[in-house]
Amino acid sequence: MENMEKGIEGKKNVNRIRRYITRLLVFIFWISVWEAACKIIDQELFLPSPESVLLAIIDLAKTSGFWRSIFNSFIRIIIGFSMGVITGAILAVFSYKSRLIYELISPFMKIIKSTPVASFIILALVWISSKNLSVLISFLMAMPISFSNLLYGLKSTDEKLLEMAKVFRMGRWKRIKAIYFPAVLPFLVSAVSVGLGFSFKSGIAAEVIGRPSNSIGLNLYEAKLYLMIKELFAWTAVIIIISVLFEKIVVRTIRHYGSNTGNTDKP
Amino acid sequence: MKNFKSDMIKRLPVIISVIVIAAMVFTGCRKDANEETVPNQNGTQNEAGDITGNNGENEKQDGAAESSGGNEEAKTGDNVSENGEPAEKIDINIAALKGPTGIGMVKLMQDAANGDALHNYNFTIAGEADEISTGLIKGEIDIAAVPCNLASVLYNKTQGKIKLAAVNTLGVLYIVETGNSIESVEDLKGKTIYSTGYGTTPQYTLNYLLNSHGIDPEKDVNIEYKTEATEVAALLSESDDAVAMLPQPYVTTVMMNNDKVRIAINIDEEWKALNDGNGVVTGVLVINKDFLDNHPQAVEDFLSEYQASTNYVNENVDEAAELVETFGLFKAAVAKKAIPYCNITFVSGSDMKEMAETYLNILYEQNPNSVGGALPADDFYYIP
Amino acid sequence: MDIKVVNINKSFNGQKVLDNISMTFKSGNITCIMGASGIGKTTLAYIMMGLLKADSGNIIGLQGKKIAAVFQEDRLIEHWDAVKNIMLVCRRDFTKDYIHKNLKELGLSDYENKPVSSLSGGMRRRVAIARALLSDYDVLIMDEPFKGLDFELKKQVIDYVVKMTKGKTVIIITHDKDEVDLLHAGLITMESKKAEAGGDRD
Repeated sequence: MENMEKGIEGKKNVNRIRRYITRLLVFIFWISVWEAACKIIDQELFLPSPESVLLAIIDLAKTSGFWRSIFNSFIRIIIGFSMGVITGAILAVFSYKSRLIYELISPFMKIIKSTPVASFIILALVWISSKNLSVLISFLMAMPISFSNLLYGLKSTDEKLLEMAKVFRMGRWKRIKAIYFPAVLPFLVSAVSVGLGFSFKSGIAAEVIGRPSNSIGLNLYEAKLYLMIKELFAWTAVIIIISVLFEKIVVRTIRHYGSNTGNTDKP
Repeated sequence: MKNFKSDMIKRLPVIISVIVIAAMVFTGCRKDANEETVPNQNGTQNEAGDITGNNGENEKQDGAAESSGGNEEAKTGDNVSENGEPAEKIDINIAALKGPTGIGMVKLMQDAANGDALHNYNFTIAGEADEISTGLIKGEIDIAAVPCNLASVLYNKTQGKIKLAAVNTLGVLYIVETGNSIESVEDLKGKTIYSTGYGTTPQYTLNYLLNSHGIDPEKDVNIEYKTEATEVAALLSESDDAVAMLPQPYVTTVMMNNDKVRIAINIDEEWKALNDGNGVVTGVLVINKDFLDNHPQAVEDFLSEYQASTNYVNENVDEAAELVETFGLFKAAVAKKAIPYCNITFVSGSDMKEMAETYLNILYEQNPNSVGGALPADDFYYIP
Repeated sequence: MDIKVVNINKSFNGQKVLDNISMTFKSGNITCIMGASGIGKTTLAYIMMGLLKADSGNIIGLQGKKIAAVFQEDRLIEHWDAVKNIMLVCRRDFTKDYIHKNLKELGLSDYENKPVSSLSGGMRRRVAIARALLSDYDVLIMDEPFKGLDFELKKQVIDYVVKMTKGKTVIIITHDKDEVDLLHAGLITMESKKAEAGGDRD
């Protein structure tokens, strides 16, 4: 039995190494494509080389404005995103319970989902100050995704388990912990990872148009304005890195919390 | 472990190829971003690209050949003109922004349209500076009227491929308000000012003025930058004590549509008071260096014709106003009133250099990025 | 108080499933219901559990009574272990030790900390049964609870059930006559949608 377990563990590690190497090779491949494209285009102002972008990132990282902007933008977007997820979740619960509420809210969500981000940004600028634009936009991106995912998750809860809960007269809190939450969890994870990406993208876009001081969007805009193309790419790379990193952290946290309440599927 | 090893061995060729390709790409014929490339030396090597100009990437080295007609002869033909007689008309692509900086050209535009000009001028009016920047970099545009700081940015970012030929517009900015509270720059303290022109002339001009009068643009005033003058106009009409900064001729437009608006401060005057009578350098003419090197006489021809056009505009406002409308810059009625306030001019040579240097210096102090990271060297200035 | 089913009628989509069914379950006893498949036993059970509403008729004696159930499907929380599943609904005054003891009696000690999804069918059944028996109930309704258990195990579990339900009213749906005997239960047979009141066999 032990040998077999060691064997399984060993295989897992081998797979993990294999995965890392594959990822590394893929990364090298695409960087090489970028580098080759640079040589072909041969105009730093249209496509800067990977090295110059990397150097630009390093240079930027030495300035305090860099970190302040990242912090500001990040905070604003995360606040908007969180509020969006929570609001979407609450509305999903209400819609799950009440058909009337569902009929009222669902078209509203559909509209938000299909309205182009740019329209929101332009409209919002009329009503609220440019500083908080990205909070609102991140909120608007996250909310409908959270709503539909969570509603779907709620609807997918096992009827039979709910019946069992009814017969045994389980309290509301127990029902949520034992039945609703585990059913909703995978949908929550999906909502968060999809919504987070959207929120970041749109939040930064909102900042480029609204230009709040000390924000990533403002830096992007100025880079474009002053033809600082390396920096433009550098900032874009930074945004991507932050977005991916944060998503990984959040998803891992949710899964971890889920498993702490005994909600993992691992035997 | 056995499986792992045999798998890796199977994949070895692929892994090796990827690494080798990557190494080749990174080390082979390396063109470092920071190295100066002298375009004309490599020009012939890269001539393999289309001469008819479909290969945008090579155009910056074939700039001269890339006129809209795809005229090959242009490259070889026109240097004959040292005698003072142009051997033939060449195609020159000229761009201007919609706004005051393009007004000086209108007479020349008409002459070109009638075929009365010395060369074939193809004019483009662009809505955004981006189009002009791209065109100049690619070599699709030979001469352009752009904001002064943009000229410096282009010079720096193209490693000297853009040269400054003349100053064509001086101060055009005004503080306007719908109330009666502003008499001097100090009165702007604590106010909200609506403006256009983020990151360019208006922003730096205003900041400089404010700073010079002891007002912190970040803390003591609230400046909101809008994208279009129309947005600012709308905000002015909404409130009885709104304050805004606008360039001519938009000031005239706004005042014609809203009689509550009055001019409170003439920014150019305030600037001059701080700078020995030197005014704000709003707009300049720049030339693509390759084009200049290949067609020096044509450039001179253009500049002299342009100067004549400028004089015409300033002396024949009514006719000029009509032309302004014809060529899609502005409504004639507005232009008629605004042209005298647009400070349209033509300053070249060492006067130009002095004006521009003073102005760029002020900008550089506020934000080096606004002039492209560094003040331009002497070779930026075209002084024949 | 005896539980009396009085003239229960239930239709689904126009199809009559229960046609004027009446029967009596003696209080404090184990009573089995047998009958051909599809005859409506489970439907009747659901009505008694309060999951379905009868079209007409009455059930006397269930008012205010707490019910525990063992369903045909296990209806366990899959990713939780046996102990956690039981603790979800068990009586407040039962300690964890007591639960361990019960699970031991059912032969589940080695498996009580594994998620129930990883247990075999027979083990899951036993967890479901333990859950019901350890909950706070007055009336226990079981729907084919011993299905899938081999004979030896079945005896063991039945003994456990009989012991734990002493004095409580238990209603068990089953197909197996042997189970009725082992339980020493009264028997009601449902035939062609009508019921014959069964005697009490102790």
